[in-house]
Order: sequence, then C-alpha cells, then structure tokens
Amino acid sequence: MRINTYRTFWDTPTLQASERAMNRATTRHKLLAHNLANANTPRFVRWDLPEGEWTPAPSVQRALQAGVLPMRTTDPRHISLPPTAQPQSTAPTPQPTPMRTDGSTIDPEYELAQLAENELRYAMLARIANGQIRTLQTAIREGRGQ
Amino acid sequence: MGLISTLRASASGLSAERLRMDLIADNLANANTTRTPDGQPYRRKVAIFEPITPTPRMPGGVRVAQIAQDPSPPRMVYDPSHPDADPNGYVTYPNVDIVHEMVDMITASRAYEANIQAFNAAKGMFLRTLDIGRV
Amino acid sequence: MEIKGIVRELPRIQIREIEPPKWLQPNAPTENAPYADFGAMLREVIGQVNDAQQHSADLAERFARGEPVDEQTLVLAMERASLAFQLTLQVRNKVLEAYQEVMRLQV
Repeated sequence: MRINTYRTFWDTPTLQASERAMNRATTRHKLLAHNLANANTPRFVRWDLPEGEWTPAPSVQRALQAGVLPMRTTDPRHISLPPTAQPQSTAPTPQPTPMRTDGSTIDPEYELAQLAENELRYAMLARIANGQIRTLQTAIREGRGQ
Repeated sequence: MGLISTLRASASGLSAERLRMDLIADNLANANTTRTPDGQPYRRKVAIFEPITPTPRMPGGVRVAQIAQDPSPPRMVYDPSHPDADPNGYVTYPNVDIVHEMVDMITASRAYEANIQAFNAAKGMFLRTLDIGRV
Repeated sequence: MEIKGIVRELPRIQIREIEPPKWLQPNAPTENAPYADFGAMLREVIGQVNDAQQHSADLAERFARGEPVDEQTLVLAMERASLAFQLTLQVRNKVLEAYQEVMRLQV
C-alpha cells in the first residue's frame, strides 16, 4: 500500500504551499494598507514582511498567525510596534526611498507598486489553488459528471 | 476577517485625508481674515495624525488625534489705513502660507487616491477568493 | 519519435519519484508506518473527513459571528471539506458496486 506522506488524501503539496503563500499575501496587504493610511503621518515607520520565502516554514507561519509580525526596521533606533512584535531581522535594510522632511518613510508610489504586485500574486495563487481543487474533484469523480 | 477588516483601515486613511482637505480649504478661505468673531486674527489649523495600533479586528489605519492651531507667528504687514491696524500701524494677518497649503492639498489628494487603490485591491483579492473551487 | 518507438522504449524508461523541494514539505509529520489493515485505514480516513467537516463548520461559524477569520483560510477549509465529502460518497458507491458485482457472481 502506498504510503501517504500528505496530511490527507484530498490535499497536495501545491495546495498547501499556495495556502501558505496566500496567508502571507493577506498579511502583507494588511501591512501595506496600514502604510498607505499613514502616508502623511509624521515620523511613521513603514511596515513590511522580511524578504524571504513565500512559503515559509510552519513555525514562521504560526508566528505570523499568532499576530507576532516580523517587521523590517529601517534604523536601529526605530521602535517596533506593537511591543510584542519580534523583528526577524534587526539589521537595517537599505531604504528604497529617502526620508521625507516630515520624518515619514512612506513613499506612496512605492507602496502602491507593492500593493499591485501583492494583489496580482494573490490572484495567481488563488488560481493555482483553484486548479488543484478542481483536479482533485475531477479525480474523485473520475472525470464523470459534475 | 483578514481582508475585509483592511477595508476599515483604508477607510480610516480616506477619512483622515478628507479632514485634512477640509482644514486646508478652511485655511485658504481665511488666509486674509484679520478678525474672527472672537476678535483675533485667524490661525492656521493643522490636523495631527496618529497611527492606529493594529489589532485582529482593525489591522491598522490612521486617526486624527487632534485638530490643532499652528503656533507659528502671524504675518505682520505695515498698513496704518487698515481698520485692524495696531497702534504702530501693523496689521496681523493669519499665519497661512498659500503655497504651503497648496502643496499640502496635493499631498492629501495623492494619499486619498492611494488609499482608494488599497481599498480596491482588498476588494479584488476578496472576490477572487470567493471564486476558488467554483466551476 | 513516433508512437511505436515510444511504446517500445517504455520498459526502459524508469519513473523516478521526484522529491518535493524542502520548502514544499507538508506541515504534519509524515506517516511512515503503513496502516495495519484496510479497516484501520478506513477508520483513519473517516476520522479525517469528520475533522475536515468540523474544522470548516467551525471556521464558518466564527466568520458568521464576526470573529477575525482569514477569508482564504475559510474558503480553502470549505473546499477541502467538500472534497473529503465527495471522496466519501465515491468510496461508498464503489463499495456498493463491488458488493453488487460479487452478488452477481455465478456460484
């Protein structure tokens, strides 16, 4: 008997990977929307997920779901908010935009570009997940009926 | 709630920028008001923005902590013939700089449209999610 | 290579099981021990079907109550529960078919 290495018979690694990636895309959208809402808030530090895999390890995923958002700080003096957030990497990363005169680090164009990329990526992932589910459905029905 | 709650965060941005536009309109309209009903010259109004701490139900956003008066000094113009001139002949004009207000207006307008984009992105992502599994 | 050529080559083509890359490894620890018997596997699978339905219903209720639930998590849980249920139906059909076939056997 073939040994099943997935959680259940109706799951595939692609489906699991796309779900993890969709979770990450949702979290990223929350951060980008927060950034844009604060586009004109003085001294606001932008939020983003650390550069990393789009299908992170389950431990990281659990941390993200627990609300402990890894945050990329742009300067060691910046304080992470909320206090429980543990930045995955505290090393200052190069800022894509210079600091504005009011101290805000938000560049609306950059945020919008990231937003668009995120949305398109999510659309693709949704399509991938849909494809997997439809394939499984067809397999279960043996291609007959609907 | 995920994506649906981000609509509220984006909406908070829209409200805040809208308020800012209202204040700018007020400032521009009263740029030369030397005497308000309380007898003093008009003082420039400024909105103080504050980020909302993200919670599961409200993943961020912005709120207007306060509508403050700009403490910077008013413009003094020498015009003894003006009814509001002080004993030295100087009239106290509001501390409103038209150019500054116009720049603020453009920034607020840009941010407003950016928040609309965020709003639509969230809506788009949500509607695509609904189509997963549908034939 | 025409079709006849491929068919001739088939016995020599070795099918390798491609190991999924590390970043695609599933969440749960892998089940390395085979099932004791068919009955054990059936019980396990029915348990999983039930879990899937429960999980999906739970998430749906929480969403309906207004609690913070990610939409994609809910939709995927619902889809998985639906797949699990369809599988159960198909298995039931197959078992019935097999039973009927056996009953038709001339003894």
